[in-house]
Amino acid sequence: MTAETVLYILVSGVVLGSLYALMAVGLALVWTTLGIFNFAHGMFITLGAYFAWTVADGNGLGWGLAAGIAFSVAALAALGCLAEAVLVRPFLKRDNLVLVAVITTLAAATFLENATLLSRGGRSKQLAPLAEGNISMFGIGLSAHEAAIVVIAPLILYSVWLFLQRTRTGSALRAIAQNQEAALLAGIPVARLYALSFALAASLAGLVGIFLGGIKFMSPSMGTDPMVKALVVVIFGGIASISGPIRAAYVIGLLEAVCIYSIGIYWTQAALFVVMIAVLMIRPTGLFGGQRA
Amino acid sequence: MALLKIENLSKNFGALKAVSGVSFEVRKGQIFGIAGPNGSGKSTLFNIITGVPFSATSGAVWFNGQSISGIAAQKICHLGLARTYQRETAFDSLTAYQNIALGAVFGPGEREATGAATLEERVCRAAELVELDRARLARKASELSIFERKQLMLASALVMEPKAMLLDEPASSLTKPEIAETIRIIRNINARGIAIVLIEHVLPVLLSLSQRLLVLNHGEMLRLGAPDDVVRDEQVIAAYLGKRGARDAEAA
Repeated sequence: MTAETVLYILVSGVVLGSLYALMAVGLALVWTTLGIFNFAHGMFITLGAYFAWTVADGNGLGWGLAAGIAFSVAALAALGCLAEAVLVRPFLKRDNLVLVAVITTLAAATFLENATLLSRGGRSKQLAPLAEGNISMFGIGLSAHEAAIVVIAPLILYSVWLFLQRTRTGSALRAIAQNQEAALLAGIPVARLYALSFALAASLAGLVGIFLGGIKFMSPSMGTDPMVKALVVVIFGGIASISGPIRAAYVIGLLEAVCIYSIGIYWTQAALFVVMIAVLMIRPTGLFGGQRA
Repeated sequence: MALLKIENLSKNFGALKAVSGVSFEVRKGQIFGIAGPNGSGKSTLFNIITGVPFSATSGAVWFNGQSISGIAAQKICHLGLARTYQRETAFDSLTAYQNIALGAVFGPGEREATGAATLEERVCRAAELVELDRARLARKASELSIFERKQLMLASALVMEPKAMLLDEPASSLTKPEIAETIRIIRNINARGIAIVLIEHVLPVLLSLSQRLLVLNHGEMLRLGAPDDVVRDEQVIAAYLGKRGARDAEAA
């Protein structure tokens, strides 16, 4: 293996890790605050790409990528609120909320996927990249789009972290995740913050969709595979803290890059699950779980 | 006028009557004690008074002249009713300061009770009143000792400027000196005109603080009255105190 190969694997691992981290944080946020797994998260990714494409692309409104991103993120935030109100809130008082939420979010995902297929057609589309051209670094070539992802993703993640750690609303969200009863009795408007965590998660997923849309062709089911990866990341990293899934995302991304290079893409998914199972056997709370942060 | 009025409150879990027909009144500034064997429905009573995590099967709760049965949970503290838990409950990953600040920010609701005090002043004042060391405020709640976590829980409730506090076994799992300090802290809180409803197994705490005492047994009211009379009651001795407990109670 040459030094270039190692670098190449590292860089593609970091690109993957960045995308997984953005997805996993949203998933973990909803998981910790509401205690449910949102299967519509993958559709937020898809819709993020399609909303942006509709506004940005010449075959749509043609207003350019910046407008597309702005619209997409805002629309996803609104959609997140709506999803919480329709898919979760009516069932909050039920004992089997976790199970009901699996069904409602899965149903929504199926509905949205087919709605996208009907309205936008199955033909593959592609979003404009964040930045044009290629850059070369340490002797390897890298698209400017991917380089932008590697830089932007940590900034976004850091902002989310700052929001959760330093603001009152962020503290309140963490409080709900830890003890909902006590949060209620401290006067925290829990229902409103549920909507907020859904909105935030959906916006982050939308960004992932936009990033992915500049790398691969878009399709109505483009969010499914990333969502499964994000699930692996969240379980692997442990959900006790926001930093757990982020760190795990980069570990998984790198691992995936190594697997793709060494054993091929066919066995990569299986290898990831084997590693996840092995980690959970040794550390049931996840690689970075065990203590809340 | 009663600040807190409980009217014929009951809670059933299927066939189990956890709380059954409980009625009492707590006046402004009063300390009202509640005792009873384990499983007699004391904590359930606190749960159904606040409606979190479940509400009463029947009966009514009046607070400050207003019915609070069925009111949205996060509004309870806005009215001026706060509670603590038997287990030292805190938001573990937040610092002690952040824990108290959350109550200060969200707790009082629309009430304008705080005057011009800044958030920091209010947090520090609450910590001071429960004698929680200021240097400990920067620590994560999970790093505090049991006693400090109990103090934190009291401060988080106190900072919401409540009219009444429901305290669930504030002295459990504490050492003797800590218990003495807890009694002093509760007296100081009460001295600010805050009514206290106190569930406690540690008799000296209960008897040295309570002005009225209710003993529950199997979810029902066994006896309600002045503490001295209640601990001499034959039924109370038989169901809860036992002979030795009664002697201890006399001593206390």
